[in-house]
Amino acid sequence: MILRRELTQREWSLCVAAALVVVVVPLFRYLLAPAYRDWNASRMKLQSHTIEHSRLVRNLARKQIVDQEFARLDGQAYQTESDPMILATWLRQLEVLARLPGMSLDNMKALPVKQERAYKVYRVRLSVSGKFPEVLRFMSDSTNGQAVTGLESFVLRGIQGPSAVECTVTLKMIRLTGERPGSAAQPAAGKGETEAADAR
Amino acid sequence: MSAAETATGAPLEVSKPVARPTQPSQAGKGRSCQVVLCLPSNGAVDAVHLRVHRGNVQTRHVHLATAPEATRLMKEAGNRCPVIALLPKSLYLLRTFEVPKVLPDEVPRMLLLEASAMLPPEFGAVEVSYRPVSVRRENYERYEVYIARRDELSAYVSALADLGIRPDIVLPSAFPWGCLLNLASGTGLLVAALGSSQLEAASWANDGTLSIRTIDPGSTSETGMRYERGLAECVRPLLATIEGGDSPLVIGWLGDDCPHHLANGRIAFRNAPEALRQMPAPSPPADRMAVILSYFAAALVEHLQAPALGTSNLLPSDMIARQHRRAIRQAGTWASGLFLLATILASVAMRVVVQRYQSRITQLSGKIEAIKKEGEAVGRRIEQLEAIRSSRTSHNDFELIVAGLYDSAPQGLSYSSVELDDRENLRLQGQADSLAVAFLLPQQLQNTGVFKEVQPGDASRSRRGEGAIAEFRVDCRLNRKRGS
Repeated sequence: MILRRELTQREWSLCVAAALVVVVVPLFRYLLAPAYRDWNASRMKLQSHTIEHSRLVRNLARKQIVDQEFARLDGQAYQTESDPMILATWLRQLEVLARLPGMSLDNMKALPVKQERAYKVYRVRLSVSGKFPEVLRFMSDSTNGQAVTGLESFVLRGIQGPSAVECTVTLKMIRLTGERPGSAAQPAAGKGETEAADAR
Repeated sequence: MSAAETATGAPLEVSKPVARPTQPSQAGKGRSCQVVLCLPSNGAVDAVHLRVHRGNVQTRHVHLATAPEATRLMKEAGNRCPVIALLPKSLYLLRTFEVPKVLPDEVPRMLLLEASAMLPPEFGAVEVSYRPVSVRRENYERYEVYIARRDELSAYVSALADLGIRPDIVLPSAFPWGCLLNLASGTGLLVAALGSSQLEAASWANDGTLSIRTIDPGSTSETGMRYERGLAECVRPLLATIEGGDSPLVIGWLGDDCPHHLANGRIAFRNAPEALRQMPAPSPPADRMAVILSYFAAALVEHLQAPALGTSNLLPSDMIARQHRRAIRQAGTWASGLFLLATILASVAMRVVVQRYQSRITQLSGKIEAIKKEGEAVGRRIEQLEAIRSSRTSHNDFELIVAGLYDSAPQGLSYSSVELDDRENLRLQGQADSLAVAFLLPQQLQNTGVFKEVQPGDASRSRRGEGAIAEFRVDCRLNRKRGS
């Protein structure tokens, strides 16, 4: 009561405000904020665990179908050799396919190999010119072989000559990496791959 | 400004209030309200707690002699029940001021100025309150003004505070007197003893103004004779107004000690007017003061929400400020407490939820651990299959596009360039015999189903040698699903 008589209204207001700050700030800093942080972190962690669990369960549900599809895959879908060997083989095959009357292989270049998590993508850019039926046949032969090949992009232009065209195309080929289903061990890259090739 | 009386009881005339009150039983129907009306008397306080609930009126009288009794009554009534202290006529002056129209905010200051100009300097500091009454002149407002000395008011409120009563409103008795006179139609004069020994007499004057007189007891101790002289002074001007009428002047006497022996052919006494007798009696059966306060409370119930009740409040301004400060402090304390509680509750709730989350995370981690290796392996194979599928679906693109272009090309149109990028965007360029043929192409492309989102690009016609040729460009996307 003595203190109350000595303080003015403004001083009392300041005292109350200061007291509020003294109470509220530690309360927020040491009680509410950590609790909120923990809650938020736990919520995020639970969310990520739930998503991960759902993904794995979904994968396992498709296991049988996946196994059946893998059983149908040709052996050429897997990477059994080193990258240069695979590229060399593929380029050689393309050269052979391009030997058609009325068509010439003008240019061919292997692009950098793209490494994905479970497979590799080999790409080749080539230019052919000649009569349109031959070019069409080459394109069909080059993408319908045993290997998993596809067409990434192409540019087809008409050139001088009866039904003559020039086609610049980027082809891609997929080779699966990692353990082959049913096999005991994963073929290793580099030395292991060479050894496996030698064994064949 | 009309004539008025002095604090010692000279005649006073005030105008009728604008709003006339209705019967409590009708207006109070279907709603709930309550009020505590109190009046100090001989060192104690007589209080009446009136409660209206769905038209049912309950009145309880309490004689408060100690602070705990008052505290108990206030607790029973609750915080929302207004506590009104009735101010006897002997403690305030009543005037009617007619002032030019001003803004509502300026009315109190203007009336205070008017009152200060009218009062003698030795009167001291005053508190002024008011209520509006019927207007007589255009662009002028009339107010019934209550003026009380601040020191007397403070002493009055302090006496109440000593007994634990903190009134929300200090109401001049003129306010409920006006309400009671409206209820007691057919009664020329209402008389009641408010406070110690003084009587108050209220009546409507001929010009529609309210007249209140304070009647002091005489020196004789004989019942009835004590107030005879003062009563005669009140009755005389009223008799003049009914001069020549057949019916006598009816005087409503609230409470006991009704001087029936003074009745003659020209005046008649009733213990209480009919309308007031219908009001519920206080419980438990109590004395004269309880009955009078019950009448006043019942008359006030109808006006608890009226703005005039607020403007009539004579509670000293410093006390109102103190009340506001107290209310703010209480609200602040409650808010702080609730905030603190809410913070703690929120924190505890979050901790509990975190515990539950942790438990679920542990369960899920176990499940994930059990299926992770196999699930990941299958996921990897799914990824591989998707890559193979994506590659294989593109191997026929060349034939597909060529066939689509061949089918859609109108007569007289040829392509010079076909470009497909790795995002399945297709750009076609070519020539046509006429521009119209070039504009036909997009629709034809769309119809094949091999192409989608076909957008015609540039198309122009230019002279070439002897004739002219139209060149065009079309952008579209490969519809692999439909095409395959």
